[in-house]
Amino acid sequence: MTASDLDVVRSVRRGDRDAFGHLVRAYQGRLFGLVLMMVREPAGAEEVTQDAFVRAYTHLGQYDDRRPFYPWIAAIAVRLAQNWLRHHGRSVHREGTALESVDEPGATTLASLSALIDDEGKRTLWRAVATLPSGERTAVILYYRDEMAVSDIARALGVTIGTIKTFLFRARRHLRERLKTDSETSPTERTTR
Amino acid sequence: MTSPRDLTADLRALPYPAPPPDMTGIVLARIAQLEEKETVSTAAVETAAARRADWTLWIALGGLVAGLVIAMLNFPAPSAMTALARGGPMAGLGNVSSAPQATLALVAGFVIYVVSLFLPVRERR
Repeated sequence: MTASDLDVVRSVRRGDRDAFGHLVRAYQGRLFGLVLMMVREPAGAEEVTQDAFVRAYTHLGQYDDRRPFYPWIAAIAVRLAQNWLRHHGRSVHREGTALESVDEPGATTLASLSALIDDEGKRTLWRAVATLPSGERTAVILYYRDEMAVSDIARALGVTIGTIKTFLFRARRHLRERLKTDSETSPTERTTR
Repeated sequence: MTSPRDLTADLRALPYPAPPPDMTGIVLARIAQLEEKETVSTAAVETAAARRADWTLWIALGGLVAGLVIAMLNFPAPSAMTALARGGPMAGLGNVSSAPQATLALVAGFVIYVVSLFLPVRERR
């Protein structure tokens, strides 16, 4: 946890509610990106991200300030996103093909996801990541983009470290395959998909 | 992009999608609303507890008064004193409970005592 985060957390614990706004501003982009990748609906992602911040505020007493803040709030967001998926009729399993969604209608909303990213090259990668099974997708975002430790990711997702390593291994393989296919497809075909 | 090193670098450089505007404001407003609700419910609980405490005090007083009435009605009675002198404390009790007013007061006092005894348990449920 950075010194400023620690100061903010202490201020909030002393009763300065507005200080929590610094934490929201600092982590809203990362958290929203993570949740969006999980629920794949901007409106749902916004709702879950807000809920995660509110939950973090009300449970700040349980936060161990010797550890970084982001993995803690990311774990909250992941649980809330899993609940959101269950509530919206999308299956989330913790064993076997962990967190693998069988039927994800959110895939149809990837166009709106692309609208949030300006760069075409980055959009291609986002699209590829977004089509991964949900467990792999979340693990990739948390490990690569958010640079969380494998043990923290395992704790956040409620699975073993071995499962996370498997997710990452499979995700890399799937991504290479998809990006290869994507590069072989003409730009016109890609835009119509 | 497909070599392992490139893929890792690209994944690390994945951009953050822009969060919805004014998320900070919305979150802080929700927190404020939540705290307001908590304050109101805490105040309601405190008021209810104060009311309950008042009621319990009245019940205790009622029990005390009922006990005093029993004592005043029966203690100075000569027949009871005589019985006490003849047959011990249990014989005196027989005379006390035989008077209708005393029986009524005894039952009322007992009921009040039992109600006040179990009141906190019922409130907790």
